This record gives sequence, structure tokens and C-alpha cells, in this order.
Amino acid sequence: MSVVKRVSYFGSDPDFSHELDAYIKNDGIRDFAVIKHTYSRGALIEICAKRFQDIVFIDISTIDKVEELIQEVLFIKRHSLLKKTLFVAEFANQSSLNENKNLLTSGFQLFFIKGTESKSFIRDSFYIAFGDNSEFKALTCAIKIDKEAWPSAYTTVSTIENNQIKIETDLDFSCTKFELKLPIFPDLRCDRFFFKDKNIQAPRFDMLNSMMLELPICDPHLESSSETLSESTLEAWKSLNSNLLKPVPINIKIISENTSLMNDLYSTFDPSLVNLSFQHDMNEEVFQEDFSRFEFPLIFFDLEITPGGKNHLSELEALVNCAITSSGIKPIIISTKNPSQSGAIQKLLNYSNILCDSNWLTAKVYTTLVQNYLKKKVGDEAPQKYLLPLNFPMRTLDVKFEVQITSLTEHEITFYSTMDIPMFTLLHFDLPINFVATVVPPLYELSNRPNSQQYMAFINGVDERDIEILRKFVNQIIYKPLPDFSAETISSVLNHLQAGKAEIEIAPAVNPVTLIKKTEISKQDFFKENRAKGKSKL
Amino acid sequence: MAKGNLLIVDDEPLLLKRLRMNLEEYADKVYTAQDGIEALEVISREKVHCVVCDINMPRMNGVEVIKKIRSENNDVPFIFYTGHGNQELMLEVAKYGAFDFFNKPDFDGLEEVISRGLSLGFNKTSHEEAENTFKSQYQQLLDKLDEK
Repeated sequence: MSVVKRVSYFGSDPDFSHELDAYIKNDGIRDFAVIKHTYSRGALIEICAKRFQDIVFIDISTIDKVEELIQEVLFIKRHSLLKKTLFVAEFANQSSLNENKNLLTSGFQLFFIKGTESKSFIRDSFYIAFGDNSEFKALTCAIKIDKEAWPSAYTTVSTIENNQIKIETDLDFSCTKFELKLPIFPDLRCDRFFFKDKNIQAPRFDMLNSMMLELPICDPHLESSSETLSESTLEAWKSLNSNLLKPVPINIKIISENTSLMNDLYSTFDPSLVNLSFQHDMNEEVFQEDFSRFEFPLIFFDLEITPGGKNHLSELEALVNCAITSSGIKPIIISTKNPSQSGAIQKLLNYSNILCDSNWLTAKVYTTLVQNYLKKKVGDEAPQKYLLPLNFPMRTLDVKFEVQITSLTEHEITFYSTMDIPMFTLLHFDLPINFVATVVPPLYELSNRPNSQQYMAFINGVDERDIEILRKFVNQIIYKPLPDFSAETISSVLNHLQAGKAEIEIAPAVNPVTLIKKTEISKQDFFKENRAKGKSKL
Repeated sequence: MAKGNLLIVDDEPLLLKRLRMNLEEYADKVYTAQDGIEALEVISREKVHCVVCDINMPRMNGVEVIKKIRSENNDVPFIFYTGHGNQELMLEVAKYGAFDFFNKPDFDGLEEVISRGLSLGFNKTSHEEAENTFKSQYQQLLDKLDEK
């Protein structure tokens, strides 16, 4: 039985649209819609809330306000069901990608530059979304490279508070030394920071970890150096960016099967004041994980309590127990479509911060309740931080770590890493060319070593010119392996190639695996299998 | 001013008598029943605006009583009193809509709750009034948070 697959395209590129159409027809997909050709604020949420989308392709050249797009994608990513949607960005050219680097830390997993082969890119998207590996071909592959390289994990600055900076990233750097450059302080050449705390509450971006770093403020009696930041420099930055000083947004959780609520409430609240987080059912595991990362002063339990059907009352009880046992604040819980009175439920569940309403709440009532809470709890005394806006220049940064590259084609790279890298993490390699590497479940079996796992990543975010360079590079190193993967060595090879001095022009296709298994894995199994191996972003 | 009619259901005759005496002044009429079957008979022939019901009774327990009443589209407020170890029964009745719970033998505040139950059952609160009550309770909760 074929699975209904939902794919949307926000864009106006007829070639891409045609390729997508052709690919889907071949794949026998029954449900496909080109939803809109131009993006407008709220359009993404409207579509995703109506029906779950497996993949959303977005042509960034049609977006006027990228910050609005980022806000919407992050909003969708906070929904426990919709977060599995794969967002893919299409750019007119390489410069456009470079100008919109913030999208790399904002819920997107793949990046396509127009002018390169669309079919290959669509195939990659379908592999990530559905586990469909039937279209992959053998490519010329340089194997047994076994050389160290230093890619970066895309990371973002989230807030600045006193002398501390909060960063969000998919990798857990808390136990290792790591290099980090802060573009927002260009004079600061220090690249090693004191790690202060990890998994700080309330991540703002679609990243799996958050960390607090101590800024290296120099002793006021000593002169600052390139390794330290003077207090006055920090104060000057704060003064220049005083408009960024805001109260921390409050987090509100809505547990509801009604995805249209997202649509109704999205435009209602200022995201700098309120972060809405949706969960479509009371999955305790999801809730516990969310509860450990966010503090929810207000929770709406919008699941009908009835004698028949699903036992939502037990789920409400489980929710209240989480609230009781948590070490943070005790949230106010509103239980809608609950036939019992508040007093009865308070006694039944032994929790006084719970209220019941026998009806579904309208968006207007939600708004009133949240605004009343804000009036009460967010005043002049509320703690404030410098919240970097979603499209703040220089908020996205690289954190380097070491890997050992094992193989390379023009399409994928494999490498060993001692770090635990979640599936669909985005990495940045700058050698031999600049490219984004999306870590994926491997197309074929990869061996591991003690204390080290081998990963595969799809190369993306490159234009046709760079793919050609990469193709030639792969050919070159097959027949003349490199002594190392340093910038100098690679530069030398690239210069040779550009000068037309390649030793071997074309190598026959050499693939480490003679047969790429064609498997029919249901999406559920695909993700279950890979989630079981560790964290996954989808 | 009319207050409405109350029904008390309990299989302990002495407790039934005591509650009737204590609650007579809060209702126009007080009916009693010694088990669930008798309670259903009373409700079928008399106008009842609030029910005080023991949750654990032989022959027919409080769950079965409220289940039967609700199946007839009767949303009369139910106040249950319970003993220890009745959590499962309490969870079950809550699915049908419980007005309040009291633990035996502590009936402090029962009169006030009965008055509110009768008011709800007799006056049939409109949707708008219910929404305003809810918002007012919410505001009280917000105010309480400040006091902590």
C-alpha cells in the first residue's frame, strides 16, 4: 500500500516545479500540491496546520522578509508533530545563501542553489523525509582518505546577559575544548571560552543543546588583549544595541489535537513576549523532554475529557504529576472541554493551580488569558536580556571540531567523529570547497571504531561551479592521494586543477559498495531506527 | 428566593439523617435515597437540582448513578463524598462531570458547596456567565501566585 506523501513548494521557478512534478509522478505519490507561488506572512503555518507536510520547499528569492519566514518555521518546529516537517531552502545563487546564513540555524535541513541538478536534490530531500533510497547512483568516490579535517557545527548566539553569552547548537560541546569565533565582537580574537552551564532553559532556535559561556572580560586593572574583552567594549556594544534589551519571552504550552489553533494564535502574540509551543497529544516522553528545556508558567490542556474514547483524564493526571514533581515553578493548567468543576479536579489531582472549562476556548479567550498573565507577571521588574533578533547579522557562527574523513564523492562525505552527532545536523566544511553537509542515515553500512562513529553527510548548498571543482578534486585524489587535508595542500591541488594541470582527468566510478540496497522502509521504521541510535533533528 | 431541590444518596442511614438535618435550610426540598437504584427513582419523578452522593455503595455505586443520569442528558451537579482508596472511582466520575469531592467524615464547607451546586443546577448558568466565572477564577489564581 503506497503511503500518502505531502509536499509543498513555495516558489515560482517553473524548472524546479516541473522536476518536482515529474519526480513525484514517477514515485506514484497520490497527494501532492503546489500550494502557493508567493509567500506571505502566516501562509506556511496555514498550510502546515491544515495538513501535515512531509517536505516544504521554499524559494528564498521570493521572500521579502526573511525574519518573518524564520519566525514561522521556528514556530512550526515547536509543534511536536509538525517539527518532523523537512524544510528545504532554494537560492538563486551562492551569494544569496551566504547572505542568509541565519537559515542554517533556523529549522532548515537542506540548501539548494539553482542551476545545479534539481533531480538529485529532490532525491536527497525524499531520502531524508521518507527513507526512499531507490534512486541513488554510484558516483566516483575517493575512499580510504583517512585524513583529519576541521568542519564546523552551525551554532547561533541566542542571548547576552551580564557577562555571559548563550549559544545554541546541535552538538554537545560541554565536555570538550572547542574553538569558537564571535562575529558580534569582531575585535575579540579569543577563540576559547569558559563553559558555564549547559541545557539552559528556553532555547529559541531549532537546536538540540544550549550552553552558557562566560565572556573573557579582562581584569579592569589590566590592559585588554586580543584574548580578552574589555568591560568598556562590552558596555559600548550594549549601549549600541540597547533596543535588544527585553524581558525573556514566557513559554506557553498548548496540548491540542486542533492544529488550526496554531493558525488562529500565531499572529496574536508578539514572539518577543510569548513563545507558543504545541503538542498534539499528551505524549509523556515529549512533554518531559520539553519540560526539561522550557519553563511553562501556563499550560493549556485542550483534550476533551469524556467517559469513552481515549483516557485524556489520565493524561491530565500525568501532566499534573509532571508539574508537581518538577523543580521549577508550578504552572497554571487550564483544562478545556472538561465536564467537571475546577474545585473537583483540584481535589482529585491534588493540585490547586488547575482550572477547568466545559467548553473549547476560543482564540479570543486564549488571548485574554495570556495577556492577563503577561500584565501580571511581566512588568518593569521582569529580568531582561539582550535577545538577538532572528535575522540578526552575525548571530550564526561556526564551532570547529575534529573529524577524520574516510571517503568523498561530489555528493556525499563520510567521516569518523568522537562526538555524538544527531541525525540531520548541519555541518560546514570549507575544504576543498565551502559546502553544507547534512548528516543523514548512511546509504550503506559504515564501520565504527572504539570511541568513534562513522557518519555520512549529503553535500549541499553548492553551485554548479563548485560541484565541478569538487568532482575534479575527487578524481585527482583517487589517483594521487593527499598527504593531509590541510588548507595549503588542498589549495595546491585546486590551483593545479584550475590551471588545467590535473594528472588524471577522469577516473572510473569507484564505489565502496557494489550494490546500494533498495529497501522499502516505512517512514515510521526509518525514523524509529535512526532515532534509536541517538538524537535526531527530525 | 427559590433555592432548588437537593438529593442525598448514602447507604448509611445515620449519616443520611445527619446530612438531611444539616442541609435542610439550604434547599427548598431535600430528598434522600439509600442506594443508587432508589436515587434514580427519585430523580425520575422529582425535580432535583443538585445531588450529594456517596461514591462507594453496594448494588449501584456513584459511578453507575452518574453514568445513568448523564446518559439521559441530565447535567445536574454531583457532589461526591469519598473515603480513602477511592481514587479510581473519583477519576471515573470526573469523566462524567463532578462538581466537587469531599472526604468522609470531614464535611467542612459542604454547605457552601451545596449552595453553589444548587445555584448552578437551578439557575442554569448561561455560556457567557460561565465564561465570566472562569475568567474571574483565573484572575484569582494569578493573584494567588503573587502571594506565594
